[in-house]
Amino acid sequence: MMIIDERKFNILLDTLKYIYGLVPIAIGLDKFFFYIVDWNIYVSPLVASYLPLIIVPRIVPIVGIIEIVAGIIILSKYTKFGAYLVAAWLGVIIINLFTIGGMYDIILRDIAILVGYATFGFLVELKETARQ
Amino acid sequence: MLIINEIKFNRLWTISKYVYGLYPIITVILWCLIFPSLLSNHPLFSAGLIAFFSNNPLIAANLIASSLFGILILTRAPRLGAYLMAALSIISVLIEYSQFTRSQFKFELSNFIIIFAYIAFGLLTELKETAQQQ
Repeated sequence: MMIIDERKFNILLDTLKYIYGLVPIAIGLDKFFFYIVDWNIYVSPLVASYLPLIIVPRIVPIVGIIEIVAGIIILSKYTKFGAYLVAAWLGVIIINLFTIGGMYDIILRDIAILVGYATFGFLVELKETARQ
Repeated sequence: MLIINEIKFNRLWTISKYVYGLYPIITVILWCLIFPSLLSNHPLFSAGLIAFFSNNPLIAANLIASSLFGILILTRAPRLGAYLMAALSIISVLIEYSQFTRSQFKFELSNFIIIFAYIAFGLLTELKETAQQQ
């Protein structure tokens, strides 16, 4: 067991909670407005070929809804679950990008971000199991 | 004060250290030295970056600095390396914002998250360094 400064730990968790919660919401919302980027270029033709035809044209908004919900979960009292959900979701996105090929710069960034979310989930878990 | 599980904390810190230490090094190696043309299939981004790289030695300095900071994280000064990487990422975001078009906002947004990931790792290291054993 180790004793750490509770105040610093809480500041770290609270900051991460709001940043890591708000960013998926912002990215999810952009799936409807396409202000940041045209997200259709990140949909793998291989992945799309396995999806039902009715879903394919709506895949980007569906992804957006998933990201908004995940962000809201992080901001709610289920922060740990939300963090792991976004980490898992990033894993799916990385696999999707691999099947497109050539987007290795984005894949690298997404791996770093995935680890960030997983770390955040572990930190919340550590706090939940900590003693005063 | 908070009493936490040291084994779990150390495991988490070690994984973060290797990921955040290796990330800038691998990025620089892949991006610049081995296969620059294979890393991205965005012609606009590649062309913009190559042009920017050749016209601006600051980018070269940025890439060298990020690998050095990655090495710092992996070796004796992980906290300093993490904070320096966060600072460098902030500068990178500002440079990207001034150079690229709206279609590159995605990269700025992911850099923004990475900045906080590095700050979090720096704070985590600080917590580890100032922790007391029980």
